[in-house]
Amino acid sequence: MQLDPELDLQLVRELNAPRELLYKCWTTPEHLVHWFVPKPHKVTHCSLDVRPGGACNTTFEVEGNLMENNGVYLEVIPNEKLVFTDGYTAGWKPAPEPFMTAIVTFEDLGGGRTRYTATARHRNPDTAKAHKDMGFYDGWGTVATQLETYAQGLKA
Amino acid sequence: MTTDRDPALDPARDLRVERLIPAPAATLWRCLTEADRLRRWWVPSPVEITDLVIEPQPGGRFFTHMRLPDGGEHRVEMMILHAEPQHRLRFTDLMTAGFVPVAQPMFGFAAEIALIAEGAATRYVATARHARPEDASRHREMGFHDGWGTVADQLAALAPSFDD
Repeated sequence: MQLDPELDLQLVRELNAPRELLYKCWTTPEHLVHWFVPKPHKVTHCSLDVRPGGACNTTFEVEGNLMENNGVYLEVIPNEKLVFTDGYTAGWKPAPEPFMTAIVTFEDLGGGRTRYTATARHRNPDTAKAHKDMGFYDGWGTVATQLETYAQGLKA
Repeated sequence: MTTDRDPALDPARDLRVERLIPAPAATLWRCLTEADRLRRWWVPSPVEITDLVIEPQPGGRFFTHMRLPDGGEHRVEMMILHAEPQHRLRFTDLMTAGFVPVAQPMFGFAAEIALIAEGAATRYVATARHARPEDASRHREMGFHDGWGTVADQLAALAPSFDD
């Protein structure tokens, strides 16, 4: 994947959990709510229709405020890759003022380990910078650790 | 399932062109997804396509290079959203290949071309959806119905010549 340093932010982690399990945590609402936002923030609603054109909708509660994120899956390769965006909603309906498109890949490293790569693409440098200043690396890094811990709990 | 992958037509935001074409859906699908066929009808004559790349899969490149009658040239980079063989092709000018969001799209749409068998013919339904009513109005004023209608007529003239 070619990255544009002005527009893209990327986090790469090696996680101590098999990719099938990580993918399941990403695609099952009952699992996703437990790790998807940095604690103590919460996911209060989650509706996933995991296929291209299907809804990828979540609502977060951050310090008492509800943040609704309605989007769509653009590409789904089970256990390997998820692409979703707020640039369209279910049925690929374009949405005004999109923030980002995310590409998440799960690469099997053997021994139950996975290289986890999360890339956020933005439509202009200002949006990318705003996302970086909002704490992209810290936030997505914390979430990756929460995902690893949660997935390990499922495995046990 | 509470979500809808085939949303109803929204008259404020969607533009549509529809034709009944005397050729089977399988032939129209090939005309829509094979570069050497698509280049023969995809832009209104006398504009010519001099290069065309289409990768009918999510994130695939959809590139056309056109030559205008005045000698001018025009390059358009779009992206394929989804391909359901024989049935639906979806593409957008809001992204380019590999899911790269476009800051200033020319029109700002996601389009769907649906092929629906009707006896020996096929109903060709092309819908362009927009984020805002003003985007749809602008696209309409830039000649959506004339342009998309003309190329559908060009397809209807070309498709019956193939014996797939």
